[in-house]
Amino acid sequence: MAKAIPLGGVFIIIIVFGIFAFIFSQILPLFQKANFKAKESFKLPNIPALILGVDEWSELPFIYDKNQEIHFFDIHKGEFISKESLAINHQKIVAHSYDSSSQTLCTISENGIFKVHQIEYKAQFSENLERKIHGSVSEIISGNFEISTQKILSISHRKNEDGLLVSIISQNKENSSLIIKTFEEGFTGLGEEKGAWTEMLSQTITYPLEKFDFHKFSTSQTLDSILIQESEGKILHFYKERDKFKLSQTIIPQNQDPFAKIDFILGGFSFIYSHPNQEQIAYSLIQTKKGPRYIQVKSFENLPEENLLFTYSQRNKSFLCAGEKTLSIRYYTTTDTRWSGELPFSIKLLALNKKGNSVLFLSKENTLEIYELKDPHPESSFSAFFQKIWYEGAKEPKWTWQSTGGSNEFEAKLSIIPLIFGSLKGTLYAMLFSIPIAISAAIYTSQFIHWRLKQWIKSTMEIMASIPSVVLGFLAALWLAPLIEPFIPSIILIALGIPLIIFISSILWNYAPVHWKNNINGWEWILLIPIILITGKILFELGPSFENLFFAVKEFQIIDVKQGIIETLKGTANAQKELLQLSKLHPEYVLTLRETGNIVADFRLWYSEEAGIGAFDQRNSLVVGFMMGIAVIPIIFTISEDTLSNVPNSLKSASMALGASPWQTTRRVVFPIALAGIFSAIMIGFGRAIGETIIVVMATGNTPVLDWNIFNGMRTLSANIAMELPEAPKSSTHYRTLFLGAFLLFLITFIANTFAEILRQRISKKFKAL
Amino acid sequence: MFKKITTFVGCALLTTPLLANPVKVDRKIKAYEITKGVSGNLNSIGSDTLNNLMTLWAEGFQKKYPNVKIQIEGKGSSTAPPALISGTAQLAPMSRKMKDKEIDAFEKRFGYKPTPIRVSIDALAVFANKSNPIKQLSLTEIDSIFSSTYKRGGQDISKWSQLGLSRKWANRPISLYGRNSASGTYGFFKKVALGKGDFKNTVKEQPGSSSVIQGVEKDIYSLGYSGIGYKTSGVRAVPLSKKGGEAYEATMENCVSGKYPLARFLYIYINKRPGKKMDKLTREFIKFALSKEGQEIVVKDGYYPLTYKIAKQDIKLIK
Repeated sequence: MAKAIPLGGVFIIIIVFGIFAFIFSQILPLFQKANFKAKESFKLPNIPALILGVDEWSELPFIYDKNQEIHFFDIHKGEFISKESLAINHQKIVAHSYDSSSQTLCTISENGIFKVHQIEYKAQFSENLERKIHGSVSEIISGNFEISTQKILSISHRKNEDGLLVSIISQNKENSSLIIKTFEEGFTGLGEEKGAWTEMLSQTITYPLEKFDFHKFSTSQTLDSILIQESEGKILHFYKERDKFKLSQTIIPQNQDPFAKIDFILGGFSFIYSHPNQEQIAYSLIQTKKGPRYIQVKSFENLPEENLLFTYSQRNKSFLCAGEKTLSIRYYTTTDTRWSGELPFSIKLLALNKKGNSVLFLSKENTLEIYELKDPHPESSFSAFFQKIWYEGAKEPKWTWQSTGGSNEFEAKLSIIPLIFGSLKGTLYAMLFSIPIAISAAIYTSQFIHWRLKQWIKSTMEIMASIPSVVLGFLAALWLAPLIEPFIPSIILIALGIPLIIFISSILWNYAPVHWKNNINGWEWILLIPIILITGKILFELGPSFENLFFAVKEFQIIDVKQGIIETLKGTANAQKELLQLSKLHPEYVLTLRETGNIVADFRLWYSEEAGIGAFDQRNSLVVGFMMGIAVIPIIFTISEDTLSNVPNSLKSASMALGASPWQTTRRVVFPIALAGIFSAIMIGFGRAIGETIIVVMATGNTPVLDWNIFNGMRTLSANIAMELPEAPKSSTHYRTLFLGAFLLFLITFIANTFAEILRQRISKKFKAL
Repeated sequence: MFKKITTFVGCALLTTPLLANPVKVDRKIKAYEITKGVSGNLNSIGSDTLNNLMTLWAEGFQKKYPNVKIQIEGKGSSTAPPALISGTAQLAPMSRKMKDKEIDAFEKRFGYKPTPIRVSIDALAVFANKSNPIKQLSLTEIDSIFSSTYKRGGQDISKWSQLGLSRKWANRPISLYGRNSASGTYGFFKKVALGKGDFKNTVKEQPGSSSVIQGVEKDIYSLGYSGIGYKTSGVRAVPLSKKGGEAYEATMENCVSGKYPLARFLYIYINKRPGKKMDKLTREFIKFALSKEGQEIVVKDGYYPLTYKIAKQDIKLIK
C-alpha cells in the first residue's frame, strides 16, 4: 500500500505529461513550411505552347499552342493522347486569355470574333476503382466585338457561377477603347437546368490617347472590377455599379511600370502587383465612403528576376510566382513565403492543379516537369495567430477570429488574441463578483456564526457547487438575461446599496446593549435579513427614478444658421459624433447643437448613445459574470472556510485573552495566517472560471470582441474549442489551431498557478514560526 | 422552476411551424413502396437545420421497417463531411453544398466524389421579433447590418433608425443573432447575403437554429437568421428583396421561381461507390425521403417539398 501511493502519483504525472505531449504534437505541424519536390519529368516534342492547363487530379494536362490546337497529355502513358483544333476558318488569332478557375479559354480573331471554350474533365471509374480522366473541349459562347478601324491589343475574360465577362482593349491612332460584354445563363427555376447565354451588357469606354494610352489589363473573378495599366504605369480601376462600368479610381503605384504584372488571387477581392527586383505589393478592395476602392494593404519579399509568371491556388489564398529559374510560393494573408528555391530548368509556362497539390512546368528545354506540393497549413504562422492582420475587405489591420466560411474563397481569420481576451474578460467579471462574496462569507461562517449553523451552511454550499454548469448556462441565457435587461439601474443601486447597508448596520450593532449582543451571539445575521430585504425592495423601486436622474438621454437638434433644423437625434456622444461628420461633409454649413429639452430615461439607450463605451447587448458579461460567479463562489468559499477554521484555537484564545475583540482577532491573527490558503482558494476559483465552458457558450453570444465593455459578450478559448471542434476536420489547420487554443489555455492557468503557488509559499513561510 | 425548464426544452424540440397557405406535395411524386430485407443501423451526422426533418423521416422510416435503428446527430453542416469520410455516418445531411476542400478530403480517402441528394427546399429567413414593425429588407441592407466588409456596397447599419423605424425603435442598436461557424446556414448566409464578406464580431453565435429563434423571441430589438422550418409564433420572417424594390415573402412559389433571394436546397450527402450498387438500407432511406410520404414530412416540418422533376433527377443518382 505504501508503495502504491507514490506509484499512483508518478502515474498521474506521466499522464499529465502525456496529454501535454499530445497537444504539442498536434500544434507542431502548424509551424512547418511547405514541402516541394520533383515527381516526374517528360520529354515533349517541340510545340509552340501558349497556355499550360491541368485537371484537378493532375493526370491529364493540356497545352494550347499557336496553331490553335489543344493537346491533352496523359501522364500515365507519358504521351499526347488527343488533340482538338479551335481554328475558325483560318482566321488569325490576335489575343487569348485563360481563366484557370473556370478552365475556360477565350480567343479573339483580328476582325473581332471571339469564342469561349470550356475545357472539361470527367473522371470514370473501372470495376476496381481505377480512375481514368477524359478531357474535352466545347464552345460555350461566341460573338463579335465591333472594332472597325481599331486594332485589338489584348483580351481578358472571367467566368464564374453568375456569368461571364469578356472584354478587349483596342486602339487606333487617336483613341484607346475598352469594350466590355457580359453574359448570363437564363434562370429557369430553382434547381432547373440553366437556360441559354444572353448578353446582359455591351459597353464601350473610349479615351483619347493623350489622356490614357491603354496597355494591358485584367479582370477580377467577381466580374465587377477591371484594371487597366496605361503606358505611364498608372492603374485605372473600372468598377461596375448599377449595371455600368465606370472609371472609379486611378491607382498610382510607387514604382510606376506599365510592364509590372497585375494578378488577382482567389476570390478576386485582392490583386498582387509584381515588379521585378522590387517588393510585391497587394491591393485589396475596400468599401469606403466613396464606394469600393483598391487600397495598398501589404507587401511581400522582393522578387529577384524578370520574366515573371504567376498562378494562384483555387483552395486558399496562396499564389506562385516564377522567374526564369526560380519559384516562390507565398501566402496572401500572412505575407509568408511558404517555399522558395531554384529549379534545374528554365520555366516557360506554369500551372497549378485545382486541388493545389501539384505544380506543372513547361520548360524552355521542352520538358514537362511535375512537382508535388505539400502545404497542409499555409494559413498558419506566428503572425496569423498573434499579430494584427489586414484581411481582405477590412478597413484596417485587426485581430479577428472567424475560422470558417461557406465558400472556397473564404480567407481564414485565425487570431487567437480575441479568444485569450475573452477568457480573461469572462474570468475577471466572474472573479469581481465571487471573490468579495465568497471570502466575506467564509470569514463570517468560520469565525462568527453559531456552531450549529456552520455545518448546515458548509454542506449547502457544497450542494451549490454540484449544480451542473449547463443548468446555470441555460438559466443565464433564457431566464436571467431577458429578465434583468430592463432593470439595470435597479441592479446597480442594489449592488452598491446592499453592501453599504450591511456595513452601516454592523457599525450600529456596536452600539447595541451588551446583553442583546450576548443573547444573540452567532445569530446576528437573522437581524440582517429583513434589513437586506427591505433595502433591496426600496432600492429596486428607486431604480426608475435613479434612471431618470442619471441615465437620461437628451434629445438634440443640429441646426444651421440658414437651413434651420437639419437633424433631430438622441444622445450627447451620438449628437457630437454626427455633428462632426456633418460638418466634415458639408463645410458650407455653420452647425450648432441645441437641446430640445426632451429626455428619455432608459439605461440601455443611455449606455449605447450617451456613455460612448459601446452597445448594450442582452447577452452580456454581467450575466455571465453573475452565473459563473455562482459556479465559482462555492469553491472559493469551501476552501477558504476550511483554512480559516483550521487556524489553531490556541492563537485565537491567546489574542482574546490579551483583550482583542473577535473582529480584531480575526483581522490581525486569523486572516493573515489563513491568507495562504485563501489565496489558493482564489486561484482554484480562477482556474475553474477560466476553464468554464458551457455557461459561456450558452449565456454569451460568443462574440469575439476586443473590449472590456461589461454590457456585451465575449468568446472564450474554451467555449471556442467546444463550439468548433466537431466541425474541424482532423489534422486540418482549424483543428490544430483549436489545439493551440487549448495549449494556451493550459499555459495561462499554468503560469497563473505557478505564480500563485510561489506567492502562497512565501506567505506561509512568513507565518511558519506560528 | 423545473416545470419552466422542461417547457423551454419542449419548445426547442417541437417548434411547430405556422403555415400561411398550405403547401402541397407534387402529385406526380410516387408513394413509397416497401421492399424486403431492409434492416440494420443507420447513422446520420450533420446539419442542425435538417435535424428535426431527419428525426421525422427516421420515425416514418422505422414505422415501415421496425428492424431499422437510426441515430441522428445535428451539430452543423461542417460536421457532416468528416463523419462521412471516417465512415461514422452513412447519411450526411447538409444545408449547403460541400466545399471543394471537403470534397478533396473525401476523394483522398475513397478515390471518388461524394454524391449530393437534394431532399428539400428551404428559405433561409431573416427573423425579427413579432412586435417589430419592419416591412422588408434588401440583401444590401442585410449585408450592411450583419457584415463588417459591406461587399454588397452599402454603409454600416447598426441602429433601427437607419432602417426607417421611428419612435421607440429609432435609437436602439440592432442586436444580432446568428449561427456558429459549423453551420451550413452560417456559410450560406455569408456567401449569398454577405457576398462572401465577413460577419461583424458582434453577431451572437448560437449553437442551434432553435437558440437563434429563442434569442430573437426574447430580445425585442434583434434580428437573426435561420432556416424557415424553425419559425415560431414569437418571430416573423421579414420579406426580402435582392437590391431594394419589391420584396418577397419566404413562400414556396417565391423560392422556386427564384424571387426570394435566400432560397436553397437542403442536401443529404452519401458515399456511393461508382459502378456499384449502393447498400440497400441507405438507398431505401433516400428513396423514402424523396417519396410522397417523405415530402409530406418536409411540409409538416415547415420546409418546402421538391418539385417532381428534381426528385426524379436525384432518385436516379442512387440507382
